[in-house]
Amino acid sequence: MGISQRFLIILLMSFLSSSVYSQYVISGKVTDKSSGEDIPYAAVSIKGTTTGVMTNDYGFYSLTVDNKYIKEGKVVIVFSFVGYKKIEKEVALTSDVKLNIRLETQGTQLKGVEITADAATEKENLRSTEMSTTKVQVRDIKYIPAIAGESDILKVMQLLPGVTGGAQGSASLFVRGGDADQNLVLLDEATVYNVGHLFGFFSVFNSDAISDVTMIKGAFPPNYGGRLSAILDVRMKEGNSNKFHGAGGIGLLSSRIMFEGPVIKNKMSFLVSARRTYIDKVFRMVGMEIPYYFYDINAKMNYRISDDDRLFYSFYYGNDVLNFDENDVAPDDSTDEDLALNFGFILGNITNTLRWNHIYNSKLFSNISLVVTNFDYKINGSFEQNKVFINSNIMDVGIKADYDYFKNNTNHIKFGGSLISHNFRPNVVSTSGDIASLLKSSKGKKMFTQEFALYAQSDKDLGGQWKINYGLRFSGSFVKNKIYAGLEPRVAVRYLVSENNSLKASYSRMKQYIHRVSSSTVALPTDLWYPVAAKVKPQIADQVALGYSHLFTKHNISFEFEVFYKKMQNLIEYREGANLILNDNFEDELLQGRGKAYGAEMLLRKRRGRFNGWVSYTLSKTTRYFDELNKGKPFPSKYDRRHNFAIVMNYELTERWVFSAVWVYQTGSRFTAQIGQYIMPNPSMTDIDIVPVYTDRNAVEMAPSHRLDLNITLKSKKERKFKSEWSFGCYNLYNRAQPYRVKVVPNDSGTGYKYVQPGLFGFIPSIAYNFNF
Amino acid sequence: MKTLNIISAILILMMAGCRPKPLDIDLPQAETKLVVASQVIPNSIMIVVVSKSFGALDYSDDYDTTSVSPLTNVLVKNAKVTISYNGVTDDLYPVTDAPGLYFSLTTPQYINTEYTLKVYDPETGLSVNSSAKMLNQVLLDDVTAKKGDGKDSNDIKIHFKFTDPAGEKNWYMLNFYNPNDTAQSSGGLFEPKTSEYYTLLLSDEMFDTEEISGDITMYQWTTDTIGVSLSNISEGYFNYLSARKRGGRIISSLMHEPINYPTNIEGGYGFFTTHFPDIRLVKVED
Repeated sequence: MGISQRFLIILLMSFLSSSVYSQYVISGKVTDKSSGEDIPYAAVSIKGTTTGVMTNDYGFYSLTVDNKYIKEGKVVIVFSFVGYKKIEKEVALTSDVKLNIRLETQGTQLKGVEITADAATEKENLRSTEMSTTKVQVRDIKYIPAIAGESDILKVMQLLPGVTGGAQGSASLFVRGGDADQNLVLLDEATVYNVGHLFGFFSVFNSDAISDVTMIKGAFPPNYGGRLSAILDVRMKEGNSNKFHGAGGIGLLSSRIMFEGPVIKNKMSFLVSARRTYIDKVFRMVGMEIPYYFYDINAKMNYRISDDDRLFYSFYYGNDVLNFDENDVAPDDSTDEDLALNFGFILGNITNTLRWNHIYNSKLFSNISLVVTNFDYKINGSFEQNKVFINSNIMDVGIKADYDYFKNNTNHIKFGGSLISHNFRPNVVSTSGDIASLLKSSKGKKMFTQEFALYAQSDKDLGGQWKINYGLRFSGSFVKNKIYAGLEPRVAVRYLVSENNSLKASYSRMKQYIHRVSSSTVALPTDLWYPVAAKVKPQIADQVALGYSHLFTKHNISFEFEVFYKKMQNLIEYREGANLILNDNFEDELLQGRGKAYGAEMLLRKRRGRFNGWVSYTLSKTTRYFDELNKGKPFPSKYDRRHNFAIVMNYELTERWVFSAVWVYQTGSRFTAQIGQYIMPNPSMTDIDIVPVYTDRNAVEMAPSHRLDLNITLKSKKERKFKSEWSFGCYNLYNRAQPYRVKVVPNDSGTGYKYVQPGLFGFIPSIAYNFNF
Repeated sequence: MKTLNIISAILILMMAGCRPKPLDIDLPQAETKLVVASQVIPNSIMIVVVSKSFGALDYSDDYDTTSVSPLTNVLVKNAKVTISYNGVTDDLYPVTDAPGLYFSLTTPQYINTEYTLKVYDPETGLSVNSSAKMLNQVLLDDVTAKKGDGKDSNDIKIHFKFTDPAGEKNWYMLNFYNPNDTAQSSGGLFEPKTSEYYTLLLSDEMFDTEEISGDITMYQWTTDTIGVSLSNISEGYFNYLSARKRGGRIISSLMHEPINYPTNIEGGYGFFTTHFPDIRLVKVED
C-alpha cells in the first residue's frame, strides 16, 4: 500500500469517524396527546443549552446533537409549546433516533386571547429571523367580542398592527397599504377567492373547524407568493384520532355543529363541521321578508399510512343564497297585479386539498399537495316573460411540493415548487324576452393561465448574534402568447442584542399574476378575478422592514416595533367612469400605475395570566400614482388610514367568568366627494344633463371610526363532561356611527342641505350558547 | 329553537332602534365657475351657452332641475361674450327670451382658423376664456333608416356612410335623435326630460379604409323621421364626450367610478367647440 493510499484511508476514516461519532440526529413528530394532531412550531431543545429547533408546519423536527452534549451516552431533550406541559425526555444516543412526542395540554389557565407561544417558544421567535408575522390559535380568539357574537378570524386580524378593515363589518383586509385583492388567503393550501358571507360581514371560516391562522405582512418566506401584501394561511384541524369529540354553538344569526373522531384509532380520523344562518327566518318573525341565508361545510380526513407517511384530505363548501319569489310575499290587496317577479343568486367556494406528508430520513421531510378550488356565482331573474341568467366562475387545479431539509441545527433548508392552472369563465349571460335586446346572451370570455413557482431558502445561524434567512423564488405565469416570469429575492436578518432583545431587517419582492375587478364605488362579492394579459402586467411590490423585539420575561410581556417601506408597480385601477359590470372588455378600462406605502407599527402584548391581551398601533401613509387619474397628481388610496389603534383585553374574573373588551380607533377612510354640479346640453342639443363636480380622488377623509365591544362569558363547571358556555356581548356599546359613506340630507333648520356620514351598525347585543363534549 | 328565534327577533328590533346618529361633515363646496357650451350652425350662426356651476348642497326649489324656471337661475343673463379670429373680435349678443344664450350672425366660419372665446359675467366678476380650431366639415355620403329590423316593429335600423379625409387624424361625433319625441316640450333645450337621442363617437383609427360606414339600431323609437348629424370634432372634444358618455346621468354615478370631466375652458367648466355638423332629417322607410 503506497503512502497516498494510506493517507486516503486515514482521511476517509477520519471523515467517517467525524460523521458517525461526533453527531447524532433525533427526529420525529410532536403531536397533541389528546387529539393526535400535529403541533407546528413547538420548541425542541437540548436541556441546559440554547441549542434547539422548532417543529415545521407539520410537527416534524430534526435536532442534531453534538457529542459534547452527550453525557454517558445520554442527552435530555426538552419539548414545549404554549398551552402544553413541558416534557423532558432522556434519550440514549448511540445512533440516530426517531422520537415522536405527545404533549399534554396544560388546562384552562391559558385560555383567553393569545398570540403565539409560551416563553420558550417566544424566545425562539425572538431568536428567529421571522418578522412581520403573527400566528393566532383559533381556540384562543373565541372570547373576543364580535358582531352578533359570531367569532370571526378575519375580524381579529383587523385588530393587528398593519392591518386595516374596509367598510364597517366587512371582512376585507388592507395590509400595509395594499388592496384587498393583494392578500393570498389559503385554507389548507387551497386558495379561497371569496372570504366573506353576506357581503363580507361574516368570514367563510367556521372557527370550530380551524386550528390556527398565520398572517404574514412582510419578510415573506420564499415558499409563499402570488400576492403583494399579505399571506393568510388558515389551517384546519386534523380531526381527533383518539376519541370522539363534538362542539357547536347557537347564536342569534347562525348555528354550527362539529364532530371529529377516529375512524381507526390512532390511525385514521375525520372532522365534519357545518354552519347555517337563519337570518331569513328571524327577520320573517318581525315581518320583514329577507330570503337570504348562507351555509358552509368543512370536512377533513386524516390517515396515518405509516410512521413516515400521512395522507390528508380537506374539503370546504359554502354558499350565499338569495331566493326572492314574489309568490312568497304576502299578497297586496290593493292591486291585482301579478308581477311574476323572481330574483335570486347563489355564490360560493369549494376547496379540495389532498396532501401527502412523507419523512424520507431523519433530515428530509416533504409535503405534496393536490389542490382543486372553485369560486362561482349565479344570478337569475325573471320578470313577466323576461329571463336573465348570469354565471361566472374561476377554477384552480394545482400541485405543490415543499421539502424541508434540516441540514443541522443552524441550517434549515427549504425548497420546492408549485404549478397552478387557473380557469376563468366570467360573464356567461343568457337572456330571453324583451330584455334580450338590451342585454345580449354571451358565452363569456374563457381564459386559461398557468402560474408556476420554484423556490429555495436557507435559514442559517451564523454564530454569535447573527442569523440570516435568504432565499429566492422564481415565479411566472403563462398567458395566451405571453410569458411573464421573474425572480423574487427574499432575505431576513436577525441580530440578537441580548437574550431578550433582537433587531431584525428584511427585504422581499412579491409578484401577483391575477387581480380582482372591482368598482371603487360598490364592492360586491360578484367582483371577478382576472389574470394578467398581454396588456396587463403582473403587479410587483418591493418591501423593506426593520424591527425591534423585546421580551419582558418577568411579566410575560412582549414588545415589537417595526417600520416598513413598500414600493409597488403595475398597480391596477380603472378609468374614470369605467363600467365593469358584465364587461368582458374591461382591459380597455384598466390602468396600471405605481404606489408607495410606509409606516410604523407597534404591538405590546401580555400572553398569559388572568389578565392578558394586546395593544396595537399603526401610523402609516399610502399613496397612488396614475398618469390618467386625478389629472396625473398623486392621490391617497381609499383605505389610507393614518392612525389605527386597538386594545384587546381578556380578564378571567373567576374560573367560570371571563370578561373581554375591544376598543378600536381608526382614522376615517377616504372618498371622492361630489361638491358641485353644472348643467350642459347634450351633444345633440336636444336635452340637458346635470354634470357632477368632484374633489380630487380620495381627497376627503371621513370622520374617525371608534367603538367599544364587550363580551362576558359564563363557563360551565370544569368537572362536567358536557361543557358549555353562555356568552353575552355587545358590539359598538356607545352606538357611534362608523362612517362608511357620505350623503346629502336636509339640514336641521330645514332651509337647505348638509352632508352627513351614516354608519351601518349601531349597538348590537348578542347572546350565544356554545358547547363541546 | 322557537324561543331563540323570538329572542333574536326582539334583539333585531332593538338593533333597528339603535341605529347610530349620522355624523356631520363639512365639505368645502366647489367654487362657482362659469360653464360654457357652444354650437355652430353651418354658414349661419354661432351660439354660446353660458351658465354658472352651483354647489352640491344647493339643491332646493331654486335649483330644482326638474322644472324650467329654476334653471334660469343658473343661466348667466348679462355676460359679455366675445369671439376673436384672425385679429378680429366680434361680440355675441344675448338671445331675447332665452337667458344664457348668446349668438353671432356675422362671425364668418373659416376652416382651420383658431377662434378664441372670452366670457365675462359682471354680476359675479367671473371670467373664462378658451380656444378652438374650426375643422373642415365632413359630409354624410349616405344615411338611411328602416323600420322593423329588430324584434320590435318600433325598432329602427340606421345605416350611415361618410368619407374620412386622408392624411390627418380625425374624430367624429354622430348624433341620432327623434325630432318627434313626445316628451319634448316647447321649452326645448332647457326642459329636462328623457328624450330619444343617441351619440356615437368614432375615430378613424377604428377603421382600415377611408370609407367609414356602419349600422345602428334605435329601439322602440316611435317616429317616422330621424335626425342625424355628423361632426368632425377635435381630439379634446372627443375625449370630453367619451367621458360624458361613461359618466351618464347622476344616477349612474352610483355604479361608476367618479369622473372629473376634462375641459378646455380656462377657469371654468364645459367645452368650447366650433365643429360643423352636417344635419340630415331622414324619413324612416318601412
